[in-house]
Amino acid sequence: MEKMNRLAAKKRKEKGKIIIAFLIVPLLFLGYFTVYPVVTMLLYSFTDWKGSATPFQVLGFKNYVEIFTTDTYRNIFKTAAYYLLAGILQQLISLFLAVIMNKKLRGSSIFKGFIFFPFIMNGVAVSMVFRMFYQIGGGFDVLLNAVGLEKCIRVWMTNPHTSNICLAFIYLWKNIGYSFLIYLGTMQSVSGEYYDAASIDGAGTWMQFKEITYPAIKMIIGMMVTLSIVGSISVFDIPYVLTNGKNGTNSFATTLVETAFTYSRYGLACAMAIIMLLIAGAVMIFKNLVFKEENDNGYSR
Amino acid sequence: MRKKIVSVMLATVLTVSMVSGCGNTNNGGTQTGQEEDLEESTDSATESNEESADDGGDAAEGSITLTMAFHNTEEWYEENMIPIVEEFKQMHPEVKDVVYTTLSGMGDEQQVTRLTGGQYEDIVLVPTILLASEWGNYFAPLGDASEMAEKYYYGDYMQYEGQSYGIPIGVVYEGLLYNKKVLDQYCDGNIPKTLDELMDDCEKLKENGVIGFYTNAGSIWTMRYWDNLAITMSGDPDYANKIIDTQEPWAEGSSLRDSADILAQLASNGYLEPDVVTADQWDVSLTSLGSGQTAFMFTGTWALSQAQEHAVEAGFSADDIGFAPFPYKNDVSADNKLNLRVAQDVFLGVNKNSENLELAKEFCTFFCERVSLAMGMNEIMIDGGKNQPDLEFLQELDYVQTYTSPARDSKISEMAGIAGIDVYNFDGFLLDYVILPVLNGKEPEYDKLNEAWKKNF
Amino acid sequence: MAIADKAKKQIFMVCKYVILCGMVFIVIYPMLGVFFASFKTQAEYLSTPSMKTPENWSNFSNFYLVFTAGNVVRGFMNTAIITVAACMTSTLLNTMVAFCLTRFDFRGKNLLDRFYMVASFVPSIIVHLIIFKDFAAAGLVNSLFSIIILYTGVDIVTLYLYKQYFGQISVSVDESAIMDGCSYFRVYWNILLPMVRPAVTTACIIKITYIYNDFYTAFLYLPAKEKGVMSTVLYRFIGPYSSQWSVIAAGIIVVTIPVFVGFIFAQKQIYKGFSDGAVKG
Repeated sequence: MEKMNRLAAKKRKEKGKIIIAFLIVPLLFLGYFTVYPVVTMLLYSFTDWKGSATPFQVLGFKNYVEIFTTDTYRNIFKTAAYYLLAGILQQLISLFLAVIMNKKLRGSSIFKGFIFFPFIMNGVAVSMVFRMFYQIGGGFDVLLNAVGLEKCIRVWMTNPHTSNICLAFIYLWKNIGYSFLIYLGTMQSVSGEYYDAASIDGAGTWMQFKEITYPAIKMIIGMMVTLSIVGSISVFDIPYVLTNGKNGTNSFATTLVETAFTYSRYGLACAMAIIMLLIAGAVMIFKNLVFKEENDNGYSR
Repeated sequence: MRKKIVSVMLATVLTVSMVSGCGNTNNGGTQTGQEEDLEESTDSATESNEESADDGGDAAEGSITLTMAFHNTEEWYEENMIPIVEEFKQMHPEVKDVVYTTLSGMGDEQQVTRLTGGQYEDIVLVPTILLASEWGNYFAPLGDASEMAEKYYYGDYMQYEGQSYGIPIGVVYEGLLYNKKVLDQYCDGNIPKTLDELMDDCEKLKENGVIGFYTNAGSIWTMRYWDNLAITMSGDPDYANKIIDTQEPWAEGSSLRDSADILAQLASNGYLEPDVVTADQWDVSLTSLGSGQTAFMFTGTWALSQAQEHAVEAGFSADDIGFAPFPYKNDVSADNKLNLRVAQDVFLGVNKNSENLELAKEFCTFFCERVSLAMGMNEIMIDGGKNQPDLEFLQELDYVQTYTSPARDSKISEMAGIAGIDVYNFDGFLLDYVILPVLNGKEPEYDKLNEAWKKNF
Repeated sequence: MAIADKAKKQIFMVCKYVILCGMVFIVIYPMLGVFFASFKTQAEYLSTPSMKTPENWSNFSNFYLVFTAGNVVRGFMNTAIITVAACMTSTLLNTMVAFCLTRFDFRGKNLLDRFYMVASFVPSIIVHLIIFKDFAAAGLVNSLFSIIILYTGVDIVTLYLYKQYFGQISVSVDESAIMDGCSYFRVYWNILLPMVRPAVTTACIIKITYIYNDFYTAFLYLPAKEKGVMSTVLYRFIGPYSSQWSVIAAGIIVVTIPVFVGFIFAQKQIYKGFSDGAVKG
């Protein structure tokens, strides 16, 4: 007993040491690459900073007011809706695919490779692929012709009704492999014995998913949904490379970059970044209400 | 209790980083001050070095390496620029080499970030999106603006408070590139001299399935010629600068509106390329022009040689491609001439923190005076500059007169930022406010443009 | 009954394959244009529609150009160095944080968790505007070290993955080790780390694809020619006025194939790790 107590005391001391030792470097990184830039941004968001050493004026909340009273920024949320829809579809489809592939399947490694493939493609590559795909007489038009839907053909990027849908499809196409890999990876950490036992009990595929798979991946689903909601606001390279954010396709991030670099209004851009972070924070709080995290199983104190 | 401690901790973290954040800005400020002092002393040092070198005549041979960044590819540099560098090295044996970095593929954002980070070459392309008031933070003044203006076309264009910060790499005419063969085939070889003729030609071309105008609107920068057309149409070289005092620059009857109206008319009649938003592959448009699928492009003469190359590659002749002034009005004669603008292109600046500042300045000037013909432009020298051989005919046309426009007021870009309209810069706004509404069966949105601009007053 | 069951199963199987083949089609089809373009000459690319097959399938000159002018080999070497180093450092940091977050209770724990979430939404372009200055001042531009540092940070998805894994390993595993006299460090290093190997593989794959494709950072921090990486290879052929699109198309294929093949081979390892069920406790 005496020995146990001594051990416990020693461990408590060691615990403190190990936490400090393990967290000091990550915290330094977090501080320098996140806290410091965010705080700088926050400070600059109240000024008319132009991106360099030139003196700036303090404007107070003027930048924030401007964001909420200007037309151009309203469109951002319309654009975000398209990507949000794509993001949710992405979760559903990749979950579905992961469930299918979770069981033994002949040739599954090839299929997995193909599904993951778009995610490993470089941004320039993706933009070139889809520029050729959506151009007049390009791959999409050829496909529609082949299945007898030539009536549906539009000038995809110039038509304001189709441009955002087409761009959101690229987002879906590129990211599906990513969430697929995450979901499948997490599912596979569930031991097969559970499924075998469930099968013997006569549980159908849906029951198995509901009772075994879903609880195991609940936390990761919550996170992926959060990421895709926030991702839909901050989507950048797809509209930026394909349409320059023109034709009503500007997202929060493309507008931010335009504000900062085309118009040299870094102060305003910082305010936009801060608003983006606030939205992200709000979504996270909401997520925590919906997907309540279970208590972590730490060492007993 | 715990919550309280956490928030205290958070507050401490935030304050600490805030202090360090502020500290950094302060440091930045003082540092720049120091650098300026340093720079001055190095200035005089280099000068005295040069003097002694001249006296003694034995500068450490091959001891200096200059660096340079420009937006063309490395292959282009190796093909066209090596002779210029060799010539410079003969004049300055102390120069060992000029190391070239290509900015091609690098976005404006990265270029600006490189500048603000102080990590850029001795001689470097000035990003178009940089505010005039910022130039002095990164670039060395190259001389008194009015003196530069006497020597070079647009020598004073990049002026801020009386000093020039950039030298143009060449000057161009802004007008129509056209495919002669197509015009011969469908329009009786009529190269349009008036606006009505242009529209007639386009109508005939459209009937025959040829694209009248290729705008490349998707790549944005190609639209600036339409704003410059407003200067040309107004007949007032200083027209652009008057936007500063104008509350409604796109009011009825204004040249900015008239020039945009021509574009709107072309769009609503269906004379433009079909997929304007993604039309951003410059060489696709040139091939289209060269192979006769397109009749006209509105751009600078620097593109002439490129278009001719593309025509040859597509199996046609270089002679099929020609250049003409843009016919913006109907009453054209020797007494009522068409204006043709001699326009600037991009500018090179010198890193103000360069270790070999004087030498860098010298190379910058030397380079800019020589590079233009290789890029298909006219030379920048006002006296003794050379014309592209293909463009000499323009001087003989009796209905055309050329002009240059004065330096642009640095206030324009700041006002453009507040309005969110990139007027007299890239002119992407023409796509959103003029072309796309018209293509979707609406009117150009001049009222919205005016309204946005009014935010400045 | 048994026969009906079997038939039902078989129909399910067929459905699965139909769906999967559909996915493969959706992935492959848009890329055909680029594949065709890689065999076309520049003039042919500019004058033919994208879905037209190339005139000469044995025109490998674009691929040749990618290897010679694009300096793929050097790019590959640099990328390899960066990815290996960054994978090691980021695995260490991520698992250390995940270990602390799942094994210990301490003040600010939840806050730290949230912070990492928020951190992933900070627009990186503005971050670079702020921190690039410091890197430039420290003379770290054009050094592989700087970019390794940039790629080292903890990212939220990886952190969650590790937390998930650590969370599934019962605390009794480490408690018994502690009773045997193990220090916490040895618990982490010798016992837990080997058990989460499958998660390490997954996390590294995500990291590698990210590094492999991120050209913004590479462009900014490694502008020198000899420091080229795979993601910037393609940019060598993009000019302001004329881009060699057919060479870029070939470049896309050259750049993408190694990762694709690597993934196909590595995934056996990944999923073997998964199914070995290190996580049975």
